Amino acid sequence: MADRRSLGNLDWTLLITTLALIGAGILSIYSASRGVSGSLDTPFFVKQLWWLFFGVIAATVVLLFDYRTLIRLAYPCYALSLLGLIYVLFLGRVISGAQRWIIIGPLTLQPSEFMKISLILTLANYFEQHEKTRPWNLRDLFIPAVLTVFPALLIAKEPDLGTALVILIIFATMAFIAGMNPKSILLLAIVGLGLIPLGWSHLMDYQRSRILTLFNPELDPLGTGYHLLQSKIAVGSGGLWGKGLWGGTQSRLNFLPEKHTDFIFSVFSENMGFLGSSLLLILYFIFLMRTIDVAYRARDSLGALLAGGIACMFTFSAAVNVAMTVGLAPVVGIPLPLISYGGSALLASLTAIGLLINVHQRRFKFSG
Amino acid sequence: MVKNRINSDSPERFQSRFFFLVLLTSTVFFILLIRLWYLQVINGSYFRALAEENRFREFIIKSPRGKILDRNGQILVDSRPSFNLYLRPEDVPDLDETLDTLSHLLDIPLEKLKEKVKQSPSSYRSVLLKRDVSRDSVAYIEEHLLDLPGVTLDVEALRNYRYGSMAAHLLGYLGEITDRQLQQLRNRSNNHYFLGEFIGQYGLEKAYEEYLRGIHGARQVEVDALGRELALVSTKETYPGSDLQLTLDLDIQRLAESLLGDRTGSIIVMDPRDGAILALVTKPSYNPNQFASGIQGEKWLALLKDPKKPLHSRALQGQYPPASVFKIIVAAAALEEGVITPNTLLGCPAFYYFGNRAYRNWKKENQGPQNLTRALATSCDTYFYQVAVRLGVDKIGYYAKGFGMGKPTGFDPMEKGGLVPTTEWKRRVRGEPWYPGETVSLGIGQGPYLVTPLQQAIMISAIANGGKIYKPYVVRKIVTPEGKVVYEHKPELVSQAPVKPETLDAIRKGLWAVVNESGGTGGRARIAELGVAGKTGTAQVVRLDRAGNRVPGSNYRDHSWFVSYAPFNDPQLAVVIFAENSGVGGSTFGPVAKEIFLQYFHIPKPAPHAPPNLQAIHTVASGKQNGEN
Repeated sequence: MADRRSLGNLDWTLLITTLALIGAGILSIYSASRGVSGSLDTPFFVKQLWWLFFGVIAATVVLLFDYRTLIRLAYPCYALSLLGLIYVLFLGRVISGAQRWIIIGPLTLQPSEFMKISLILTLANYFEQHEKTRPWNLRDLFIPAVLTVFPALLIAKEPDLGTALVILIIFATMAFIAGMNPKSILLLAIVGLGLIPLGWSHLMDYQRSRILTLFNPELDPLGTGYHLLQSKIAVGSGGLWGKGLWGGTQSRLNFLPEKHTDFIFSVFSENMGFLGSSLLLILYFIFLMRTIDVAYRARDSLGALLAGGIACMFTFSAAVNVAMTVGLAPVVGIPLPLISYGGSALLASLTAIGLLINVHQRRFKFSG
Repeated sequence: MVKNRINSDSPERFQSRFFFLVLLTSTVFFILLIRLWYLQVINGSYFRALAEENRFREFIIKSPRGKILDRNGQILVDSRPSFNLYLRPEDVPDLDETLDTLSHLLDIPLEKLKEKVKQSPSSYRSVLLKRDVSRDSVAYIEEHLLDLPGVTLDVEALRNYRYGSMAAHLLGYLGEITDRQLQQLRNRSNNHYFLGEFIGQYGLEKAYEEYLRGIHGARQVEVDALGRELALVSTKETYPGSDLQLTLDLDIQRLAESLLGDRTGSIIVMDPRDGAILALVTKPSYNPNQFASGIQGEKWLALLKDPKKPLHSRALQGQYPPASVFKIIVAAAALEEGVITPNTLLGCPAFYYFGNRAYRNWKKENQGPQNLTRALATSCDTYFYQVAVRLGVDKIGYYAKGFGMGKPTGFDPMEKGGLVPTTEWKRRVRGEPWYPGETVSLGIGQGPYLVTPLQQAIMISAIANGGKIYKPYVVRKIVTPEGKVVYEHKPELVSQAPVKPETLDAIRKGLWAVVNESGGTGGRARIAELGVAGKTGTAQVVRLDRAGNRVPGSNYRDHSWFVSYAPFNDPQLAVVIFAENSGVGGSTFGPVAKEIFLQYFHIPKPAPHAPPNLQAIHTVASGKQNGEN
């Protein structure tokens, strides 16, 4: 089924930026976990390398089949991810207060990461199947909304507010790409804004204070404001030139919380300074522009929706994560795709990139 | 299958939407880039400093505080090791249970302990729960340390006032540094003042804080976020505080303390030759040791609310009518102004009439004409009424001020100045002229006059030393641990009393007679070998309102004074004894002065006549022998 001409059409920029970002990530993970001495577990960066290996295989497999064929797997994937989410809710492994993980032998899987891809597939499939009714109004969005909100609630319950938010944004963006009438967009925006106070009242105290401390970090510099402040100190103290690859004291001495996951960008920025961090940011921007470009050039609406959903997932997560590390967004716990430590996330991200390349490769109207 | 998927309008319709996404993403990333520039380039050095602050922690090593010694090098105040109890909440599995145990053990309410733990900035930091844990508790805790994870004991030097409440008002006490002090001191010096540290808050401890304190050392270590020490970066050695060598004489001070006993009052022993203080007793007193480890609220409140005011330093701050001791000033004024000569004879009747009022002598019988010597010896009131009327209020006031009354002696900033009434003063304060009738009782030291015991000591010293008003002092030397003298007191002559030597001679003769002639009111202070001179005083106490008017119906028991010096021919020691509301005459304290002179001049007590021990003296001193003025 693979297109022979595919290799020549390969989006090298996308591929190279992806690998560069992953490389920067593994380097930072290595730097961040160097200080942790005496740990008997496999080092984080080694685990990440293994996940990279699995991810490359997954991406390759995804590339082999036309995405229009793969889309048939949308509902089974969705169902599987949903089962995973229900499983973790009752039987999942609790790590630092959240119940997000399934343990299978040596593997620790995070179903919410796979749900993001599954949802993109499912929504793309749905929107494409019901194209005739365009432009979409709110009533037409009922079924995709249910498909989104249900897993989002399960994820929020873990609790993993960040990922739940990503899921909702994916839905909104894909609906937007699919084409909604302006009235519906306005209405959705109003409903969304109306839900803020409701959502606020359902937040846990720690989540609320995270948001409050964003606006006033001095509110509680040793409690909730601590993470925010320490991250800003890490980034800022990197200065122009950085403290060197292993020189970051904020990360080495553990002042930086969650340093190999949510705050990996702070580690990188502390070590590499503004020169490094701005370069990484620009690299990431190029990568994101390529993902949007894939959606833009897709040969059909299914490809556009798939690539658009994926682009949105990467863009939103990256923007919120970096904003968080530099003190511009609350600490919501969204990792930086491709760079943060996390096996499931890397596997899912690489699968998504496989899909992107797939859409890109088959952008010309040569039907299979 | 295919037909559905290929839409003619797909690229066009997506274009604008993707353009919107690109625009949004670009904007956000541009903002993030600006933010990185702001944090890393513009504020880089600021955040680098914060990172360093995170990374390095300074542990202060307290310098040993200097000792306070008496004039013979005997230690009055030093430091002793004590145990402080700390808790590191992170290491405590069951905080409530541990706190409950400690609450019983330390006898501190549970809520207070919880409060302290709550105030800790991080659960990795140790919280000080109690200073100076008792020996028993220390033993218990050390035995059960395994059952009390997170609890640690740390040794600290604690201020030790060896003689408890002795000279407490003079020595002062330590207290926890206040926020305001911390700010001021931090700005002023780099001597590592830190939160929770104890510094001098009163008395010599406060006045000589910078000498006693020394220089704290510090250890700078690299720590991780949990506060674990990873590496020693640098150390700064401590430098011990200097010792204060006082003019205080431990033996005299202790004797004076015991002689005053339970009375409320003060004893001051001074060297009239330069104003050196050998003893400064204020009673009732308090034990400064209870401040050393942080006084608890209730105890502090009890001290504050005690009607006897144990925190009130009566020797310096108590202002009392000078009573008949003031006759010394009146006599000096009269001689200087030519109102009398030493040989002028004035009557000493039972009553002296002025206007339509009768002013009585303390003796009911007419004593006949007397010269100044005799009038001082018998403390004849009517004699001094006449002299006062001849002088007038302002002339008396001039000499009172000349002998140091009406303003603080300069010994201590907390000191009170007393009051010297004048016509100008009365017009200002009460808006009335001075009435001649008011002058009469000034002659015997009644009326608005107020003096502190310290002012009386300065006054009697001036009589003894030829009119020199010295600034009293108690710190003779300050010596560093290496023995280097960083301060040495030089006698400070404040002023010269405006009197001729002949005037002083005449007064001294009178004061000699007070103690040594028959009928003298101070006879019980007599020491034949030495030659003691003195003057008694008994103040009839009425309560005055702020303007100096008597509060109707108020009657207090009399205050009593005894001021004295010896030896008569070469004065070396002045003793002032004051007892508040003692209800006895000043002559009652003659034996107290005598005891002090005997001790100081090492004169063996004449066995049969004198009481055999202190206890007996005490009974005599507090006996109810009333009657004279």
